[in-house]
Amino acid sequence: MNEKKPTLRSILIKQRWAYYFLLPGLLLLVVFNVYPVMKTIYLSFTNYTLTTKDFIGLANFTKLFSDQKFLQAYANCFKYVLLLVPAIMMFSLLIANVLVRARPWIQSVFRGAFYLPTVVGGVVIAAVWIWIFHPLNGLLNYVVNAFGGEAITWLADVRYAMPAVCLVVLTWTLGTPIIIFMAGMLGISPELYESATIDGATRTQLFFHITIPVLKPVIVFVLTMEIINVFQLWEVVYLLTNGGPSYSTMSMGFLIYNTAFVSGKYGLAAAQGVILTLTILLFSWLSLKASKEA
Amino acid sequence: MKKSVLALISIVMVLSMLLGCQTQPSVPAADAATTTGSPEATAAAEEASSEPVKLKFYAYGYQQLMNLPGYEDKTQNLGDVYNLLIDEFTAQHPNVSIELVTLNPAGGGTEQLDVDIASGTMPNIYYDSLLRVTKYNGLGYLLNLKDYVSADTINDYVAGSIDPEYVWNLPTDAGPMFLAVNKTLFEKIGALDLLPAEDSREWTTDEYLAALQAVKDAGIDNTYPTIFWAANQSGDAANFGFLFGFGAKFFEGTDYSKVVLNSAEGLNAFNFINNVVQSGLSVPGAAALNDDDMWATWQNQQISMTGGYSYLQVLAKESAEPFEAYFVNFPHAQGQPNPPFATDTHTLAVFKSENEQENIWAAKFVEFITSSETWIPLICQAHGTLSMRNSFQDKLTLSPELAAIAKRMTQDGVLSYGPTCPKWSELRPLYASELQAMFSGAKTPEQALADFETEANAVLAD
Amino acid sequence: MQKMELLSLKGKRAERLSTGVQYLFIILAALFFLMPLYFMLIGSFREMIGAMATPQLLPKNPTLKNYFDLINSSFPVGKWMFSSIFISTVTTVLAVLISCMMGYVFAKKSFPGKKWIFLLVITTMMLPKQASLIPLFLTVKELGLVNSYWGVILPMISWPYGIFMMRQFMQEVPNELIEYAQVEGAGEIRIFTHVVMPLVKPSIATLAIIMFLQSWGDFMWQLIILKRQDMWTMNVGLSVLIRNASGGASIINYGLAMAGGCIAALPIVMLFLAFQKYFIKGVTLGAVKG
Repeated sequence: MNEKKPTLRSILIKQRWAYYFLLPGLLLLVVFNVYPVMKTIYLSFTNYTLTTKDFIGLANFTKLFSDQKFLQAYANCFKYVLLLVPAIMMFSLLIANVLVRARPWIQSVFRGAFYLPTVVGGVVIAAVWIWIFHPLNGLLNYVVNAFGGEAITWLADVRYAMPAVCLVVLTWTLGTPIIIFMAGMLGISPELYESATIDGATRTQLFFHITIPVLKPVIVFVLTMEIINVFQLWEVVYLLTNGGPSYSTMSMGFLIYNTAFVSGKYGLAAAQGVILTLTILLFSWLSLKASKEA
Repeated sequence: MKKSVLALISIVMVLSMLLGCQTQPSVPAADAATTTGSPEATAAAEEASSEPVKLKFYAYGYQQLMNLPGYEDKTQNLGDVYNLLIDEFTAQHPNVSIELVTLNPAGGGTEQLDVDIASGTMPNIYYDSLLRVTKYNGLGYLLNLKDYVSADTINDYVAGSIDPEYVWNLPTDAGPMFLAVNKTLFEKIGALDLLPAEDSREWTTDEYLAALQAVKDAGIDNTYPTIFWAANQSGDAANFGFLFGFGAKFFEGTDYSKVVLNSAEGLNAFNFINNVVQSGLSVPGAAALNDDDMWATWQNQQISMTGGYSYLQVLAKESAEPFEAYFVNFPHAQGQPNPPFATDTHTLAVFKSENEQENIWAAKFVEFITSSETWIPLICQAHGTLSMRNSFQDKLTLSPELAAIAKRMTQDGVLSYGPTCPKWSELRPLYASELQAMFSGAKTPEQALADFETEANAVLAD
Repeated sequence: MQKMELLSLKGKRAERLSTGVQYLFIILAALFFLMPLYFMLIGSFREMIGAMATPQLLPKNPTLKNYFDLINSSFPVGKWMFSSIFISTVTTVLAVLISCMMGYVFAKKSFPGKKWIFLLVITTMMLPKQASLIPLFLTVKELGLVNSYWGVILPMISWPYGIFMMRQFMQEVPNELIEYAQVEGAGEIRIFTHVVMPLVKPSIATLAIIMFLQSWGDFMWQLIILKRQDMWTMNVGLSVLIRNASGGASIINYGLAMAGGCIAALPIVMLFLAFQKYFIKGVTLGAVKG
């Protein structure tokens, strides 16, 4: 039994298959993901526009921290995340849990129903939603009027604009976690449930004590991705409210797009992106830690 | 096994060489003068030579320029019309070759040109809406065509449509914005006399309000006197005429470094517009309406008049119940002259090149297009716009309504409401946001106007 | 589906009730989700130029004009459909392959620096794409991929989302199975293709659908890379097609837009249906054991 300490060379040879599997993807990753990101981080320390490219250190960042619009967009992002992420996680888990017990054809139907808005989402569906919220002949006000109420300018009212945006985002994004969780739940061996059921466990207990723990890696994935997606939210804001009214629905994603492509300040936009990335990183880490305790 | 390792290693090596050799994008030579008010006297130092010259022509893919009458088979695709322009020019000047890049209209912004410039590719000639061209003027990229284009051409332009000292763009055509009235509706309620006379097309704000009130009093179901909108910036220019009718303006002359809308006149204008919205003379929910609603309510005869463009006439004819459109100028306040016209301009610009021959020939190409008696009328007809050149006024076939507006325009002049300010695209959302706050009652007109000016000037000073 | 045997009858009734309530909730939620899509479908059969007209549950004057206009448009809509399908299919196949390969390594292999490389991979996803668009475009241009389908496909293939997802799912594959196969003398590739991949079929199918959709909807990037009109994708092309010619302003033909949206959704819906069989609880872990 001579356990020699493994040399780097022996590790590389022993694990060579790991590298073979990694290499093609890693190459693409470096070229198309890592390198542009590194470049962007560098640009955040410059005043990069079409005509300037000087290194200015932390000037972009200090400027942002006293910029009202940036601070509001930043705060809004937290609002979005705290409103949407728990809702998305909760609803998708519960819905998936109910659906996996149904017959395959029922599963397919509902899976399709929830995922279809994600599939179609975009300019066209945004137009439908704008009409649903329309002050004059929109569906929602039609219902409100029927109940004797006054028509509301949903998307132009500071009280209702953000909830409206959140609602639309929910319908557009709930489908993906649902199909992912269903895929995960289908992979759980029924034997795990059988023994617990025989011991008299209720459905709720099965859910919390078997399903959730077994699904943990998948839950971690979905939670992280939803945090990232909601923090980066911009398409719905752009299509529905343009950040208004009074910037109450402005998101970082939309702000970055404006800074880069309307104002032409790529360096500043990069800085905004960097701040957002660090925020997401911190928030994800904290969320994962907190959910481990739960 | 060994072969694949070798292959992988060589791929890694090649790619890292590619990355290493990637040069920094050359920041195109920017101009020292960043304010647009300071023209450069760049006299054409050389004569046009007959040496071969290669030019790049970036042109916006206007859908309207497809299937042009008389050239249907040659303008089947987006941007084909530009090939025809190029062919005609290069036939006369065989030493010039022009490469066309058609900009995708799906973008809406300047992303496509921006990424090309950022990666080191600059156009020579750029054709687009003034709204988008202006940005490149602010960046110092554009050539002052004053010394490259004949004085005759420059003087031929309607007063206010270009700055004769600093010709950074030369328009092909421009669509004026005015008030469109549903004449059929007014006939129905017997209030035709409240509308401006056919030969003058002008009226005061009081007369305008009286007309609106008549429609409201008539009480037709599901019909409103007019419409205002502020959900987004789309179509904002359609209503700037109201501001001009009170003598308010965005900028002082050609000083685009400061917004001056927050004046006594500006406040009068804002109060007036807000009054119309709040007193039920406009479609309810203005804060959440956008210009799509303007098109729809006009087409369905749900409004009696609106600020807008020449297309409203087409919509009126093609509506389910066709009606007659009547074009008039915006109302003017007591003591103010008729408001000048805001126009949506399509224009050509030349990007400065280090190669002076490229500048010379690019300018010639621009002059050729803007002087073409074949193409300018066709372009005007396709867009429903007017030529900005005095000598072309009788070369166009205009509808009677548009002709009346054209006549008005020669008398009241043209006012650049904003696109000549390079940062106009950043000011538009600010204006829409303040207007929305005012319409929804969140801010008073004074507050909205003051906030707009403060924010706008902050952006301009940046 | 295996029915759960319950001990007490009372418990059974309570369970049935709560299931019923849950189903009611899900049905209502599904209807709510489908509602805008229903109106989109209805809208595609109406002529609506300029803005959406008043709500109608069923079109009063239904017309096929929108679909007719789409098919007979002077624009190459067919080529656009081909563009989108080609790009999305190639992207999906390659991305799923890469994701599985890399996910497998991160899940089951160990090597120095694994944790940090993985963290780096995930962090690159956190930077919004708008911020890194220019640097990425410059890279793609240097590689000569502008105006080519590969300029759209390649940057998308290594999207860390897929890598992260497959890693999580592959972590659940029991190590014993892999060791067992190794003992039996199976090569690395065989283990990957015959042991691991089949066990994560539902997640592969899910990833495929997500990737296809992601690639289909990548509007901004498609816009700046594909410059030739006949290479445009459906999304880009449609947003041009639905705007009517007008002097001075662009006005959207909503009926046409709705019809376009319906047609553009078809490929993905078909893919979704085709993949349904992978979502069935097929080869379970329990069955392979023993």
